Amino acid sequence: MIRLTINPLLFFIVCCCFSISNSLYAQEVETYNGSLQIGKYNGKATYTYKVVENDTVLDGDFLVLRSNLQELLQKQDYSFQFKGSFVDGIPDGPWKFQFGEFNSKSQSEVIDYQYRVLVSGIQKSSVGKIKMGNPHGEWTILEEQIEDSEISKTLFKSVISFDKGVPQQNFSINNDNYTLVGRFLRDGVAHDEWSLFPSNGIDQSESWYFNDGLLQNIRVDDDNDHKTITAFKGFTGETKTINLDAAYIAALDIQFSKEDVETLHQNNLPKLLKQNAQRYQEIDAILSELGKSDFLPEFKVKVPYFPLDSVEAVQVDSVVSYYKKAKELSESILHNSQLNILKLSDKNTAYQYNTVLQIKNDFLTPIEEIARYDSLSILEYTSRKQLLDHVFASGLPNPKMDIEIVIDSVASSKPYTISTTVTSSKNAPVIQQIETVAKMGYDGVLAIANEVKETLAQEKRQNELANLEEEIIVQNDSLVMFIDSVRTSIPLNYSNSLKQIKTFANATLNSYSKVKSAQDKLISARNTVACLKNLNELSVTVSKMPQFKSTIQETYTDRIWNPFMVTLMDEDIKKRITTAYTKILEPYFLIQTEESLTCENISALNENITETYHSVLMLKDKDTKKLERKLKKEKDPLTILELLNVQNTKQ
Amino acid sequence: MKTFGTYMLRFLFLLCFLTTFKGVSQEEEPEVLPEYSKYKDLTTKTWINTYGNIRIGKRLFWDAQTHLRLEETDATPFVGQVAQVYNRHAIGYIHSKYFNVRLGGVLRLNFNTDESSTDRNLVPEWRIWHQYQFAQALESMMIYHRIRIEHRWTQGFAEDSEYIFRNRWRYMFRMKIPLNNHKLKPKTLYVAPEAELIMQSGKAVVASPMEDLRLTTTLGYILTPRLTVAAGAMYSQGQDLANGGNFKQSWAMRFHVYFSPDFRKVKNKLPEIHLTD
Repeated sequence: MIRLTINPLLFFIVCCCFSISNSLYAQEVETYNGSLQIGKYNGKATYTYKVVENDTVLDGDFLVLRSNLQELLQKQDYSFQFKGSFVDGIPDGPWKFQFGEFNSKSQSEVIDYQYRVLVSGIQKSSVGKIKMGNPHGEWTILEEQIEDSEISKTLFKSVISFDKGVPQQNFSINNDNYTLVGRFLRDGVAHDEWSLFPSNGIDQSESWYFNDGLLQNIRVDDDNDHKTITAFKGFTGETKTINLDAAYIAALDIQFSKEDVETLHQNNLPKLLKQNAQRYQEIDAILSELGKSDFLPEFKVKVPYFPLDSVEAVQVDSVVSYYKKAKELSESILHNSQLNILKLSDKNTAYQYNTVLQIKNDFLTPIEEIARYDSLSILEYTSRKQLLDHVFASGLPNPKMDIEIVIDSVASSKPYTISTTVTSSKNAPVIQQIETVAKMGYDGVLAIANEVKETLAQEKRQNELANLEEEIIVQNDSLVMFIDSVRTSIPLNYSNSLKQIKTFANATLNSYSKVKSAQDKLISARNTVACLKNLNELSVTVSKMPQFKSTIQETYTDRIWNPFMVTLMDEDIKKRITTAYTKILEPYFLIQTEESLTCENISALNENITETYHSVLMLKDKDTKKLERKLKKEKDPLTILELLNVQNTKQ
Repeated sequence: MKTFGTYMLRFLFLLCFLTTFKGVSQEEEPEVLPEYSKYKDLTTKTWINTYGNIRIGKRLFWDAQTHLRLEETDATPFVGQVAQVYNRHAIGYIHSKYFNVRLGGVLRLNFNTDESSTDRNLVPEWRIWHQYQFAQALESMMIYHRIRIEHRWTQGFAEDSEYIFRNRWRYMFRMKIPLNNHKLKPKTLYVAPEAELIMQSGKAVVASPMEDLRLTTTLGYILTPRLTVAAGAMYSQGQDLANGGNFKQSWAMRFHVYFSPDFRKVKNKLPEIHLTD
């Protein structure tokens, strides 16, 4: 009996477990057909996916493409096609990326019952295998120029073999001008000969010899000569593995003499590598949009490693900080237009200006290099001595300088000594010596900046005064013109006020003209401009007051029905409010304008007038019974303003 | 408005016709009329009237009038003593700017002015009244046609006198002509000539259908849209009810106050206050 009961139960439980695990591990794969946006690409997609925790995870084949014949025929079409597959959201398996930008001259031909449209443009493609998001096996990246549907030129081609993202064995990269061929060790570091030769066979070719990632030397060949530049050959100290990028090239530059750098430097090798990296980045951007991806080829090299200790790191930071401050100050002096003009005639200014120029050349320019190395994080990839020799090729700069001055084609010279608290010592550690130079440069520039400050300020004051006086005239002219134009067209009581404003403006100008001291004159000019501006505003307001009054009267008039006359009649409503405005406030404002103007109270008066007008208008639709009662006996304008809630700033 | 007015007029004419016919058919006892019509001596009266017009809705108003009428007696020549106190009320409807109607009641208190009489001193008189007023603008003035119909119950001062029922048919033509303005608006002096004919009918009316003809001119002043005052003189004459051959005549000084308050809340007044203009 018991067995009979248990067995079906067990069977049921087993069934449940099975179905749950089934649904957990064998999620249903669904297919999507429709449009898809990947970054800037928008096309028609077909792919399979599964849903994990409400997230769409790509799984299985993936295809997205776009091409538009209509656009191609009309103007230009960009087309693309990405084809590959995913495993649990990570790209895996063979992939192909194709991008095209084509136009057509509307030429077509019929072949095998098909219309063929001939296109021209550029087609880029990348083909290879991906293993768990990393390139694996051989990847070929191509950029081809297409003329009438045929490849006319290969603009870029790179073939690199990977093992789970690490470049392996031989590779080749070529663009229009150069071809780079090289080899990697198993761990991805450069090894043996890397050759860069020109496509035209005329320009110089370079061979970079690596030994386990460490660059030994570079052999430069051109038609009639060859030269070997030694890099780190024979170096036995500590090394560090870094990427072969622009920073690496900058670190190499520190090793080479100026002459060598010039020989080498069209930067063709890093340019090619950069072009290659960009192409890989394009693909990485697409794959990253869709799932997890790490699709960047990292070409590794080794460099000698001289780590900075903590003291040195702090010193480097202060070098950078001095440099930044000194640069800002020197730029502000060297680019100041007034100093630039003044230095042509004023000997002292010329002396100061040229001193800054010299400090910039001797101190700031080398320090700028150090700051650049620091920003590239390559200070540690060179010996301290090499660094010092490279940056200060002609020795550390001297704080005692001779400054050349040329005025009216007469040259003279004057010594200048940077007054500084630091002293340089040849025995001090290299980084400290550099810091001393940076501090000296900063001190020198700062001293000059303080000297020219007064010159600049005086110049500025004079300029400002000239501008202000110009503004005074403009403001006064506009005031006079405005008042003269409106005076005749408004009632007498308003035009009297305007006349008074004009008189007041005249008096203000008079008192300004009596100010003699330069410092006071500037302050007085500023005040006068502000005063005249305010007067201009006040005169506009006064000219509007007749309009204000009639608007208020119109607003406070209601059309009401008189049943005895059987007509509509105008009725003045809330008369106490309108009376307060017309009989008390408006006369008060006009009297204020005529009798109590000062430069300080104009703006407040102006504000009072307009604010009063607006608040009176606002009161129409409000319950004002209380207010009207209070207004009944009130004759004092200030109290009325308070009642109307107009801020009456003390006048 | 036109249709409504037209119907109203038709109705009034029908009513007039019917009652006239009725009045004629009921003529039973022939009056002893004098050979020539006789005019009684002129009397003088003083009327002091207030007219209230209180707005109670968008189109409705309450017409509240109180009139004090004095009549000359031997003891009080010219100004006279209190003869009647009127309380006239109605609810009115403003159909449009140019037409309004009202319906209501009147309680008139009649005082016995006959000093020799020993009858009752005060008797009430009751009326139901309705009125139709047409207004029109003519240049700067206004012209009004007023039809007022009253159904009145009156009684004499004698102790045992019974109520008699009569209908009154009144038509008034009035003008208001502004004198110092181009239209009737506040601060305007105006002159208002008017002529009103009052006909009556009823069992007691045998040979005296013309109860009164009033010719009035007043001079008015519009103080505010809500307050107007006016004063004027009126000559009136009409047949004596007892004998159609005798005509009463009188001169009256009239003093009027017109007021029209509107106690409605502002939000109810606006914006419909202007009706349809």
